[in-house]
Amino acid sequence: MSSQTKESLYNRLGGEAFLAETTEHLYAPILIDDDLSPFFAGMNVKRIEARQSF
Amino acid sequence: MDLAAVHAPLLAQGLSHEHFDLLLRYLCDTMIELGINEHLILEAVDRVEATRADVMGETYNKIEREKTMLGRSLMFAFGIFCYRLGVASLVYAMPWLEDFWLSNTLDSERTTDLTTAIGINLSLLVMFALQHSIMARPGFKA
Repeated sequence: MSSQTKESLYNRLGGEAFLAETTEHLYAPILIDDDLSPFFAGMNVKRIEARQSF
Repeated sequence: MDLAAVHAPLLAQGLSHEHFDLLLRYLCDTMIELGINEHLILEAVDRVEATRADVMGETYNKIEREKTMLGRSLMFAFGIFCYRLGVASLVYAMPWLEDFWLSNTLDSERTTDLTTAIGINLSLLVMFALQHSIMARPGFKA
């Protein structure tokens, strides 16, 4: 996606460490949000986190 | 990862653009909280925004809609063509039946032998009968 000369957005954001931290912070408010939480019902958030980690 | 397939069950549950916006909002808040550079946040938000059509299942719908529109345009063009052909035939039939103006009319002398003439007339009738019975079927009309 990103150009050859430019570091990818993923890496510029801080790579794997950034992703782990963001997903951890992101799901807490979503899971207690009345509008959004139903869509995550019965889902294993840890599994989603793992899937988004590549 | 097929975003459309992954989110299809959520769309069935009523996932809307408002939900997508809300999630984007949470993502934005999280990145602000983590002290990410604002230019990077904007870039990341853009990147997520770009997946919206896929997530909401609209990429597929758009293709389907365009296909339907093309089909309708072709059907409409076919309809116009047939209408004009029909009107032209009707207008041609007037002087042809009245033996007027045209060099070849209903009253003209037969130019081929009788067998050939009967053969031609029979095949014209068969063409008419086939067209009438095929195009009148629901399958063709739909």
